[in-house]
Amino acid sequence: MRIIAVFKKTGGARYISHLDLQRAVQRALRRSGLPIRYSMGFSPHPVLSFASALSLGFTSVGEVMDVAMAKEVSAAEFEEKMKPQLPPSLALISAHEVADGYPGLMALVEAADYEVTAKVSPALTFADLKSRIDDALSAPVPAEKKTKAGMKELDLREQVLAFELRALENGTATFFLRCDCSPKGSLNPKLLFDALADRLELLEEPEYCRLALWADKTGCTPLWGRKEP
Amino acid sequence: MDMNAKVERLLRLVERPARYAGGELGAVIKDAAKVDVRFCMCFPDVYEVGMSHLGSKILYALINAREDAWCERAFAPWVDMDEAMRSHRVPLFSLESRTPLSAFDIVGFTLQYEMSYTNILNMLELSGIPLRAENRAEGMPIVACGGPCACNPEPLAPFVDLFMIGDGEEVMNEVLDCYAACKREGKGREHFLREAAQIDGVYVPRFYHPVYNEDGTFDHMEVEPGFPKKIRRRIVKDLENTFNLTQMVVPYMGIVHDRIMLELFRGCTRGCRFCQAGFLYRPVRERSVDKLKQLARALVDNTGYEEMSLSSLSSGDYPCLSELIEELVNMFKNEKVALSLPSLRIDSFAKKYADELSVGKKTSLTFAPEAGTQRLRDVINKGVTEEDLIRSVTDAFASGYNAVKLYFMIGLPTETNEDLDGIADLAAKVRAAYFSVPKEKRARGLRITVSASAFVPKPCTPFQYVPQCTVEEFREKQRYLREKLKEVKGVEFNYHDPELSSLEAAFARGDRKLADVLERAFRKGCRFDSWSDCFDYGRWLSAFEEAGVDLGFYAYRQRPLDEKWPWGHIDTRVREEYLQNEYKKALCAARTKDCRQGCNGCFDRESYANYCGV
Repeated sequence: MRIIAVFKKTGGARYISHLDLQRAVQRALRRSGLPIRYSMGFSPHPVLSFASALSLGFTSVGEVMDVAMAKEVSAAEFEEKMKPQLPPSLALISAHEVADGYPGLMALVEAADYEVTAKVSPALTFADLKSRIDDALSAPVPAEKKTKAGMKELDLREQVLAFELRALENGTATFFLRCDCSPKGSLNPKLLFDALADRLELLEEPEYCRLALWADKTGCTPLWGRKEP
Repeated sequence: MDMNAKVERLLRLVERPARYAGGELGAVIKDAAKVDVRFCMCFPDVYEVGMSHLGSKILYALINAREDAWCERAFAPWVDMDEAMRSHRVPLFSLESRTPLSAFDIVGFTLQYEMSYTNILNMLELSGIPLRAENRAEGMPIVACGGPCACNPEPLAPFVDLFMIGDGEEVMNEVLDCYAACKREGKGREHFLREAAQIDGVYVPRFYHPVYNEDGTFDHMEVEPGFPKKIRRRIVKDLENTFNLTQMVVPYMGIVHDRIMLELFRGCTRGCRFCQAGFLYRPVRERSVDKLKQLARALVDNTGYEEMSLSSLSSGDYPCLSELIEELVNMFKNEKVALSLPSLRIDSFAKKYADELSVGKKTSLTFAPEAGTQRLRDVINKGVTEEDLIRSVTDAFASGYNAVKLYFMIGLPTETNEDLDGIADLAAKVRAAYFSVPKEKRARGLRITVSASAFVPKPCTPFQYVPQCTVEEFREKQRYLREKLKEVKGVEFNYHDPELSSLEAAFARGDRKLADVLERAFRKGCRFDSWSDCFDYGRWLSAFEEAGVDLGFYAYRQRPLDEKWPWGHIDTRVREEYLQNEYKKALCAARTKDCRQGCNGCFDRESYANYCGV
């Protein structure tokens, strides 16, 4: 069986690279004493995967990992044993049991939600900023992406599933963004906000926080919630 | 803007922000208002290097085990962070609480290699702490240093308030007790330093004034009345019952030695004449198998590390090594903790261990014959023979290893081209040993790396008298050896910058006049000198010139046997006559036996009775 667990990546942990995160979680698993499954071969390591790598510097309250177990472990036991082993900046939020035959996280993930905050020009009202977003999305948002075949022109709108202004307080705007996030195609929100920085009159580099990862494009199905085929 | 916000802003600007972010597992957070002493443990190199140092881990845990003290950490910021901190006016801060270093009671640096000294000055400057001890006002931190290079503290003396000489486990607590008491009684810096100078093993340079002869050599030390004439190296007598490390900070980012280091014993009985550690950490003091098992269990439980190395100066000499390895292998079989034995000596390596180690990764094996011929190995008292080496590598090849690193030094006393030929010869024989193993038994893809470092004569060793080869001589030796090694197929040859080694030699045996050179070099922008991309020899040479100090006087001069040492007030407990005698024996290639086979009489009588001969 496997456990799919949701955890935060906040504070100093935002500077942990994906590879280092993997190692930190492996060590936490070893400290927990849980019966984890090890890979075969010369340097056995825990069978562990993540749904999607988070850009360095982003925070998250909805990262998802998948841990294979050598024996049956309940979600409650996993939580109880792992919570003390993770620092507050990588706090465990929840755990969910799935069968070995359940699809892997990479095959499941479709979309990601982000909260993006940034200081904007003090001259802008909530309504102004809202209409700037609508204007910006009424025409292609071109960006260049490096691919194997060279530089490719993209319209970032194709990967945006939802984009709205949630709040504007003391000159700080809070945006909500849902975008594609799957092995077939992902939008890094930084790419979008870099492209729109002038039009949204951003005064500084925004803060990015991933809120959730979904197994569908509408934000209804959590990664452990796919009905068995 | 508060410190936290300032730091957060910097973290976005630099490479590898995890170096400065803190918050690792095992990092200790305390309430600053509830402790008497705040100590910042500083390593004058980047995080990845400093976090790999066992001594700092021990002292960090030891200080934090006290209720009245809080130890935090700081490392040398890499060049990009250094620039960002200067341009945003952010002072150097501790990783745990992001407190500026200038707000600490004691800022402690470990001296692991001479070429980290400019980083110490840089870290002080980034902290806003005056470089020279005499300029530090009341309320400024005490700058303390310890570690192997403290055996010659003189080149750093003007910058340091207090040195701790020898093992830190006991003296650190005594210094902290003294500091806490002075603080409670409202006594200031000067008063504390006067009291601390009375602690066994503590050197407070401001009370010691060197006097030189006209030719620039050192004559004697004027010691102010009331202070000890000799500062004796501290020795922890019983390693089993001293403070034992069971918890450590587990970094997120990969570091150089990213594993548990289980310290089997301290000291070494071999008596290799070039090896400063071998003389500075005498006598050998072992931990029992039971104790080590207990410590290993606690360390794995507390850190979750996937790898453990058995560390010491010569782990192969641990008397119950096979028993220990067997026990550890069984203990951690199910948890997949790999064991590695990095400094294993070839003559104590057995095929049996090679098999037991296969629980871990089969990486390359490292052997250190140090010299190419038996004659030269006798000169340096490295008790390893060609047969030992070939037997060990053959066994290793037969059990699946395919990569061997061979470490040598060039520029050793009495070395000739014949000894360099010997290095190439050994490499060829190692290659032949690989092909002597049947094809189906050996792993494919043989890799042999020959690494030749430039010998640096170190103080407190029998080679403290000898001149170092000049940069030109080293270049010629390297050229010669490179040509010779070309004749052996498939050997990779690594060697060091001889310029860097010449500076190392000058500072290793330098006196207090070197402090000016150091400060000038730092002002010219020298830092991270042991990183080849930062090292600038030209700047160093002009620093020597401007200070009116001759590099060659310190690096290339043959010292007479009756030379008075600038570090003579530091008593390592090894008798001067012993070092002289060892030097004389070296010149006629006479071996000195391993002291497990009987006492060679290196210690003074009292130290022998108290620490060794019991």
